[in-house]
Amino acid sequence: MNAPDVKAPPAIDPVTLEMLWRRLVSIVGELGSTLRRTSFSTVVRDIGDYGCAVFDAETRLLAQTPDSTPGLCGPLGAMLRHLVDLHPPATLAEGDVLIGNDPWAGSGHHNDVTIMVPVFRRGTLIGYVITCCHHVDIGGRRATTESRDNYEEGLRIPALKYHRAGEPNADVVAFIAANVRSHETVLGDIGAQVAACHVGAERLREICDEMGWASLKGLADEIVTRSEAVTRAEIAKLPKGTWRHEAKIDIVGGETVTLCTAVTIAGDEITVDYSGSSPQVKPAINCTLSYTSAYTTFGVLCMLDLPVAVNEGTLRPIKVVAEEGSVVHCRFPAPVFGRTAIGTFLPDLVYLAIAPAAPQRVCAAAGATPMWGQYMFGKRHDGADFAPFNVSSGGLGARAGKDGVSCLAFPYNVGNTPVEVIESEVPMIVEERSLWEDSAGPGRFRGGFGQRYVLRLLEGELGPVGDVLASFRGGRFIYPPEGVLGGGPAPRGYLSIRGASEDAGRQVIVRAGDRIVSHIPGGGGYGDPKARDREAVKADLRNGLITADHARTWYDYEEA
Amino acid sequence: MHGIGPYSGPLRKRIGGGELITLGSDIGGTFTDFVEVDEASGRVEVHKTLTTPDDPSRAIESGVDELVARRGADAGSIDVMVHGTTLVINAVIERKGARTGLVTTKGFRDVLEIGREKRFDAYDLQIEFPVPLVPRYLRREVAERVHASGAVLAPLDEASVREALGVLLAEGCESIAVCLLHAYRNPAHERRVREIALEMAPGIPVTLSSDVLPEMREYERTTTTTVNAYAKPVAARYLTRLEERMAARGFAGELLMMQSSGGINSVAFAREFPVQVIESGPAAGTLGAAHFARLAKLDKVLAFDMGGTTAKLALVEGGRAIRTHDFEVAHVHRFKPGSGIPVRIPVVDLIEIGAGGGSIARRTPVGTLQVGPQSSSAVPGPACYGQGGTDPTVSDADLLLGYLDPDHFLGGRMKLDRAAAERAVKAALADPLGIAVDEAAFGVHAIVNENMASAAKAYASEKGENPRSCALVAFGGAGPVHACDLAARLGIRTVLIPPRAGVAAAFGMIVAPVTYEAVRSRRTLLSALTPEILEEVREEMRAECAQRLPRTVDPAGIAWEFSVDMRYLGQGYDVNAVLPEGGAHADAVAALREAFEASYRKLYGRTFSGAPLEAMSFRLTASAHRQVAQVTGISPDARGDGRVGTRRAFCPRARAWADFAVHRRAAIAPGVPFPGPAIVEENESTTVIPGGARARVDEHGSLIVELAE
Repeated sequence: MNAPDVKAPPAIDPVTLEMLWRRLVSIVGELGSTLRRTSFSTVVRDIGDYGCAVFDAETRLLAQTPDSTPGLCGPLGAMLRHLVDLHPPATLAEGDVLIGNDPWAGSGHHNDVTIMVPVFRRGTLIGYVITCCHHVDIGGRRATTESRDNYEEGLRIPALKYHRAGEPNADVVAFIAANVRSHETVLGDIGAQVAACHVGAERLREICDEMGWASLKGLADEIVTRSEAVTRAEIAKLPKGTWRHEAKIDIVGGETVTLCTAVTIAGDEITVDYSGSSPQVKPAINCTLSYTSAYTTFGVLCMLDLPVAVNEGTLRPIKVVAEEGSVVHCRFPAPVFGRTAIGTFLPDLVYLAIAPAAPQRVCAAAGATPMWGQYMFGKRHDGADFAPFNVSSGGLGARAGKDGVSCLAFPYNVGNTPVEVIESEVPMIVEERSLWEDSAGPGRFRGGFGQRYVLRLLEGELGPVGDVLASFRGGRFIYPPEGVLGGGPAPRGYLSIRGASEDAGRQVIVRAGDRIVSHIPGGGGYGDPKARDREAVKADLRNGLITADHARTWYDYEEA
Repeated sequence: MHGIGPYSGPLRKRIGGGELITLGSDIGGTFTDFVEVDEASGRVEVHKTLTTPDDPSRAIESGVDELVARRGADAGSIDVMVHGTTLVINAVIERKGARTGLVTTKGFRDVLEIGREKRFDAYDLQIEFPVPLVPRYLRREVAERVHASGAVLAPLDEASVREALGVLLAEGCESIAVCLLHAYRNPAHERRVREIALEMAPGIPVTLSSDVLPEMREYERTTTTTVNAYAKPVAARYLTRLEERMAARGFAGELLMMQSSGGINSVAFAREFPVQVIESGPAAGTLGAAHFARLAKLDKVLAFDMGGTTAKLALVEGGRAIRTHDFEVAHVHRFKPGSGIPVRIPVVDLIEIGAGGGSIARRTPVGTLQVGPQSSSAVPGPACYGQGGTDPTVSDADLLLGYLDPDHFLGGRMKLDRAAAERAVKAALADPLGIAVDEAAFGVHAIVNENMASAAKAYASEKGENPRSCALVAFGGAGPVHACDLAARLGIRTVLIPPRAGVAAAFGMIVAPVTYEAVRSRRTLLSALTPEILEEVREEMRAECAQRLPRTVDPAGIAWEFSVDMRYLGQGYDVNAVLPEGGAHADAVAALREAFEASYRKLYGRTFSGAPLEAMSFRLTASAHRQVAQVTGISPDARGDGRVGTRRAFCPRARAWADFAVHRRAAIAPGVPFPGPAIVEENESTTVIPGGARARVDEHGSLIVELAE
């Protein structure tokens, strides 16, 4: 064999670094799959409404679960620093477990409870393992955007020790048990979080054991430094300057908020500044800054398409700024439960702003934003209660070089519930779940198509008994998903109950025989529709996805 | 059970005959493999021939000819032929299936395109999904509606059926798929659509979702039905040609098909349900490996198959491969679940990792060394193949580390170019990373093993298992090279390399049982599950099994397993619980709860006491084990430990170069122990045994390595 090269050896050789780095990513994967599998909550299992991460002793993020909802995973660093501020390392002992759910420190509403375990090895703190899960209940009013302040939104859990040196803190446990519905399930799920964190802690100790290290510092230094360097290099490829976008979003009750987005590329850093956006609002849809940051950063990271998994290094060059008291940086005790109604728009807004500077990297606005869903509570004739949950997504925005995908969740990632499953639980039928013709924003590349989703409550024995309490999520009733770089918008969303146009978010009563119609828009278009490939227009026509009229108006295309 | 003797199994093809000659044949991407077992003598013949992609039955024909010619016989001497093919999956991947029309319930023509509305990669803005097999203009709606209870809410409007089918036939559809809502519960409308289709176009293949997959969830049922319809004409043509070719050669025995589930069934069944044979190779390989593990009295094993492009791992307990129904084909991204077309059929539950001999190693932008999942494929292949490849691969590293012998690769049929391998590793890895060539080569070897180990750990833990309690059974060209180091990373002590590891899949077909699985979705609370419901679904499924198993199966020899997919009320995922045979009804319900809780606890570590349970689907599996001859993998002239020399190789355990004893596998006598570090060479592969380990060949020809603590 040849003699080794004479370059100075790095702190950790590249093979070991790769191996341990991957190991950290598998550790969070293991935590995530443990939580997904042990949680009773279907939002954790099916929707990925959880986040897990490992940090070093300096609270630097080393790895986080890649498939969790951005709103749950993104704020873990902020939450950890909040917990450690209130419980500094000197006050932490082996076997301690911390708990908290402050929306201003974490993922923005009370249902998301964070559990953190400081990891000790031979008496030295080597890192932290943290998990956050959406719980089935957190007391207070049930899921509603009608709470008037944060106190109405259920149990507030300050930063507390859930276990002290290995012993459960009975006072905290009792307090939670007394304040939430289905407390056995909630406590069971918190227990699953604790167990998962302990597994993660063991894995971090194993790395130190295997390598004979006293801490993870050397490994963390390498990961963070190298990741930060590639992130900065990627950002530096973008043209310098500031790009702005102003969007109007219709919210509950026909009201409108304005979101001002300024994306600045300065050197090798990106700053997203929401200054000038509307003040916080009465309905419980306000975002805390940590939540705003999480969704914004997620959008930026998707756009950068980095060759490394998210860690402290990839986050450092990305800054998010917002004015306190605004709807994207609300002041306590603003109500926050339905924060997705604002937060999920943020990646789109970044793309719409920066499109001229990074045309290859962005996609047009998503028809899936905000989330459309149907909640109903009622009774069947056989006496069973029903409370179905279904999310319906519009189309993904068009990208450089390709059309958007039809009916696809973005930026959250919630699948639909099969119609046959819904109908086996709920005394209604889905009359239609189909692609909505002409619903894609036109462009050289068009958006993905949205959908028509039509429900009808059955009558007679197969129908509901008496009134059914319902609320429907949705939006884009006034302001449709926008196109980029000359692409056209998708149509506006439409919701009707018993044939009358209806607003999202309100609690309404529906009864046997009622029809609920949702038209969920597609994604925005990309580039000039007139430049669209004629064969592509023809194919959409043949497939009945667009009408001859749409083809003529937008694409100047006449059927032969 | 495994004794040599008259064929007494359920496949009574030969009446009054003595022992059977069984042939397994597996069509792979490059080679078509054959294994022939003569139960009378225990003689095993192995043969490989090049696959003929334009008409795969040609390779079968010539391969069978060559094989039987060895014993001076013709194909008429073969009693049972079990066959596995990649034809169906290739038709789907390469979009070479039939022009297919899809008939759906009004309002649901887009089920195929809307899918589950979920991203398989959260961060990928460029995400894409497979294009549906049936374009929108060939998806037509009919007016009808069935309720989840099976009640008809709106009768089938036959005029709308004729109109829809008229359009599809006018468009030139050669195959029709029908998937109506809740047809799993009430198939009447689907059946009527078929009648009308056959009236309008006599003989046209029609696939009903209620026949293929009578299970709730319209997206997965539609994709599965569509794949079946899409593949049906192709599969029928192929199977007819194969039967004709074999008949022309005098073959008069029973031809059976290997299914993805790891069981076999008749050609008639495969013709009707080609989706069930969509990918049988991995299942068969797993069974072949499991067979030798069972002979070696290893109860729980991880079957590990590492080839040129991928590695596959599957858990086998008590000789049974774990099965799942979550299966996808034609992925947009090969290793990303969710990016493919779901096909809900019983399949052997295995993971596939982008780790093979051809996996490419490179320096990442952050200055680390990464291996795979990209592969150099057959051409140009690894640098050491000397076919112009310049990317360093796992095989290049294995060669530089002394594991592969450049002069004896594939039994000497291919010379490996060591200098080319070294150039590739130096230029692409060692120099840019600032490490020595051997360090880089071992880095490649170690990282690919670590990747497989972490995937295996995740896979095992999702099944509630710990790899430490398993033995590793390694096969495939690269499997034995990597097996011991992989085992060490998993905490596994025992590694077994079965004989004829290069044709494990074809061998698996010889030992596979005959199976069929029926399913019925009937959502009901466990507390409301009456004896009548249980009996009704069981009888329905029993009749279906009887109808769909090969006619030669002796009903008395069938083993039945009745199980229920259940969930806690309010949860969105099911756990399968097996219902023990017999007992009163009240006991059955209690036994189901118990079985559910046991499985749930194993998978998730907890149960929710008092939470109501809901039954979703019922399953009945019929299986008939075949008599398996005791065959040996020991060559008659094996003497001593078969040692033929020494070579320098890099010891993965000591992390240093060492002298490895080189053994010829064919020359190792059973029961003779020999120590590591050692390298055992055979034509299809090489086993690397680290220092500290002990190895021997058992009486069945399996090489068994016990690793040091």
